[in-house]
Amino acid sequence: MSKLAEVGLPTLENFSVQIKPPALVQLLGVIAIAEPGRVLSAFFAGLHRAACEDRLREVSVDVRHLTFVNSSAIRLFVDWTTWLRNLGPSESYTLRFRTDRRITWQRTSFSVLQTLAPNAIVIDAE
Amino acid sequence: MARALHWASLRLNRRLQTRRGKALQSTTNTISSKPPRPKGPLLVSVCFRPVWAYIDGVREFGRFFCETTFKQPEVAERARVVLQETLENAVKYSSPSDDSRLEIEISSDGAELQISTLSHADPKHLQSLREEIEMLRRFDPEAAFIAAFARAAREPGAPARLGLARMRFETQFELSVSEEGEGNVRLTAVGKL
Repeated sequence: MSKLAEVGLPTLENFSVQIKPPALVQLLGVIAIAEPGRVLSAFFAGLHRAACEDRLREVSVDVRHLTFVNSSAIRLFVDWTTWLRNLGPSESYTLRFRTDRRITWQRTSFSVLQTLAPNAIVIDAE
Repeated sequence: MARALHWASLRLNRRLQTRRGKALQSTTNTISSKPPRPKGPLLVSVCFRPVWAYIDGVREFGRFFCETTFKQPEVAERARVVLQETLENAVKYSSPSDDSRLEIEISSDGAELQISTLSHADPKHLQSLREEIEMLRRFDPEAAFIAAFARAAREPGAPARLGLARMRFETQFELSVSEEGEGNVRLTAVGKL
């Protein structure tokens, strides 16, 4: 049974998540609340833990329909990248972001995110 | 709602059309301690209590206003980011007193767009804002954003502090911050249309 499929989904107005095992996560909507970490940090940590427990070699995160986020929400992706960097080589996985190059925040933020972990972050810009 | 209306005022100025095409003074500094000169006529002024609940509405109004006025979706998207980050910053750093206000202004001379917020900063947070500005001064917009990401990665659990760096890099707006007496802080962003 996929641990990723068992991750509890967050409840947040204007934002939704779809998890499609074995390794696809789709984020949709807008994240612009005051402290997104309070609502979403545990969810992102759960995704990371599940990816490790499932021994996935790659997790795809489709953010093409995550149309707008505030900078506090960008922090969530920084944290995920940090957790990934802290893994040993045998347990590490690739985080592949599927982005829309027409959406400015995605074009700029994910290219910079990649500088934190060039070997672990892959950006597919469509 | 009545309280919100008490604080809120909105003035739309339609003089933009008459000023289109007029020559501009370019902004060469990125972060300044001087109060910025207005970029053309004032188009929008909104004043409200600095509480988070109003940010979404004001941001989306500003995006809609820019899209409708300038007929450039890309400009509207950049304005949306500037509005989100400047409003968040102003709300976070505002004094929590009942009579504190947050004023946002949008002006343009037809070639550049200026968005500024004026708020009464909580003294506890003013130093943090100054330090952030000093950090930005040391880098170009992309390098500053990379540095802000690296800092956030080094400091898990701390505030993200990505907003101002994100705004500069993502929108290519130039920023200036000035104090306007008695703890009032104006954060101004100027970008090309």
